[in-house]
Amino acid sequence: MNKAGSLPCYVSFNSRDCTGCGACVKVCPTKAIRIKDGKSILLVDSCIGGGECIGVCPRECITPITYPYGQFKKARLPVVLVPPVLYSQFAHVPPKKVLAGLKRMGFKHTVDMSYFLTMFKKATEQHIQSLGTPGEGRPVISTLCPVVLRLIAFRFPSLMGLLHPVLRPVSLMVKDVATFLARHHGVAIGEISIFYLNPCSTKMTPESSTHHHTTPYPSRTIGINQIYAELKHEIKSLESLPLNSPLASEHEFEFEEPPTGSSLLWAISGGETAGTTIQNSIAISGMDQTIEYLEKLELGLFKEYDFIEFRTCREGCVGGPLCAVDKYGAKNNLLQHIARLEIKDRHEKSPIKNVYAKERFFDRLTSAKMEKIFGQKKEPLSIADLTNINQIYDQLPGFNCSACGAPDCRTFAEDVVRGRAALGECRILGQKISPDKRSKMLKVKDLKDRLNLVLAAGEEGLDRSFSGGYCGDLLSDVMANALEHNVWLTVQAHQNIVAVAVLKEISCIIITCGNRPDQATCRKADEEKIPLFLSDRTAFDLAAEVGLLQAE
Amino acid sequence: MENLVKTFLIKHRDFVHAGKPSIEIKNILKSLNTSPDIIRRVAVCGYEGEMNVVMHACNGRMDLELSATRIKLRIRDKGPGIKDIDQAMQVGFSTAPDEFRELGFGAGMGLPNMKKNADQFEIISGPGEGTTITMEFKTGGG
Repeated sequence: MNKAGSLPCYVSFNSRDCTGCGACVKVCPTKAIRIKDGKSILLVDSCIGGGECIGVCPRECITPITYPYGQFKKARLPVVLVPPVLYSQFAHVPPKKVLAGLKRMGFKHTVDMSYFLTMFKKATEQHIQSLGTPGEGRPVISTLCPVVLRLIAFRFPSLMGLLHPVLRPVSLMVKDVATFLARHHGVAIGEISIFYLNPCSTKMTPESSTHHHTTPYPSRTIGINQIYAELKHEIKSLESLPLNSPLASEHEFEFEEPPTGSSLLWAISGGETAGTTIQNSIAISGMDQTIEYLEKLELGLFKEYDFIEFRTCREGCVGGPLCAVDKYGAKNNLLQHIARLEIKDRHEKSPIKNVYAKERFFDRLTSAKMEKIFGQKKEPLSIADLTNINQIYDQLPGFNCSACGAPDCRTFAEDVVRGRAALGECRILGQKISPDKRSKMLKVKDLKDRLNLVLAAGEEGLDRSFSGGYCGDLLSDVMANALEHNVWLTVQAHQNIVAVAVLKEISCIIITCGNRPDQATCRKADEEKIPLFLSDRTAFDLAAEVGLLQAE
Repeated sequence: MENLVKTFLIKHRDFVHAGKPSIEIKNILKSLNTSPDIIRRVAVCGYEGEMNVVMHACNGRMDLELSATRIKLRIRDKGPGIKDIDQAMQVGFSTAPDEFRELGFGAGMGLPNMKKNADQFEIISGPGEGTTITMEFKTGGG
């Protein structure tokens, strides 16, 4: 089930500490986690790297797959790409100090992503303006959040036509920076090692194929939380340097300049369209909300909007699972930075318009391309499969308790049909059907011959099945302790025994020690179709023999 | 191959749950690997149909019938019915009260939109008789 290598894997599970509590199973938006033999396992083909599971695990068993962070120190020309969310991790530290700290850590060049984000923003404005009549081709869906892209490819493929056809800033950035720096240093592109600092587990694979627009340029990703401690230390040590020391303010190229206030907005929900000419847009954040709105988009809603921004992390990238500080604190830090920094765009409008006209920004995502990146989809079901799933689902308790290891009853029914689970794995159903399934069901009429019983009444019930038995002469005791489908052995012969048998769904009654029922009792047993047997032997003898019969 | 039939209930004025049946139908079609274009069209028709019942009619029901070659969607209600079907089918014609228009519905696009998106569209209605809309979508293969 765990097909290694079939797809990039975004998270890894440590099964040693896993208690099988199922917290991760419940939160996965693509239902990619199950519990088998008391441990969580990942269905790799269904994982989109949303990272929801990482935070909910009470035992911290789930870790994002990351690139070993120390590796950059071995590279000849390590370059770091800095998304705006990094600045949110430091209160009262201006962005230029953060960039200086990164250089002290050993990065040869720091690239502020907002340089490219602003370009992207302009291209987006241009694209929206170029759209025709209201409603047509709308709303344009942002491609910035990679999890949203994968979610759309996996669960909402009919929305792919609405994806923003502009090249994603990360792809643009990697391409431009690698080419420029290789030329500047007079080396091959392969010599430039690009490291992307990341708030989400989604780009956490060494292959850049996880960006939806694949780039042939080498890039690696490092989680913000991986470098946080060292970076914080370097930033602190900057304070001991003399003011205006060259290291703290050095930037050779335009893309190395620190960001302006407005470009920091990208790290929070709504930042993509804040301050743009795109008036008619909404920004959605959080996994549940994202799914809800994607569902509604598929119903044809929201055509009145030009643009929809989605971030699966709550509050936007500041809520990323690989951020080092709390999202609300990070958001506040960012807003404080913005208040202190200058609010202006980094680029003039007209040169970007020219570049835009040359279609440099464009890259339309086709379903073939998406398939190449996201690998195979789930095996489709047939109509017969669906009918089976519905039938199984109808038998299930519907509590969605996850005790079986699947996130809900519906998914469990599908797993059964797909051959991934057995019906008996449902704990509740398993209990209910256990008397029939676990111990052998025998026919009442077999009992008659084997134990040499005399049938007094209730002949019509001879085809009933039984399992196990109960010996008791106190009716309230029998009422309390006998199980359904039991054989009941008793010395009582009055008509109330039939009523008890009916109430407890007892299969048949054996009246022991030569006791005889009256006519009324026999009549009642006939009516209720409960076989009434007579025997001269004791309950103990008979019970032993019933036991032997069942053990065969 | 056997057909799959599923029924969904639609409640009058229940804006909170409106859309749920269409979303469920959409997800059923996705699990069958139906082409995205067909899913989109069925979803739009289902939702428009639901909203019509929610806004104009009493309670209603939506039946989904799946076979190897087609998807059939039937929406039935016992509402007031439509006096003039030709008029109702015109783009922009609407009898929706203002309260719904404020929510972004009732622009007179529903019925024409359904007709446009379905491969076959049939509407039977009359005053006091309720309305039944039957739509079919060809899926070609299995």
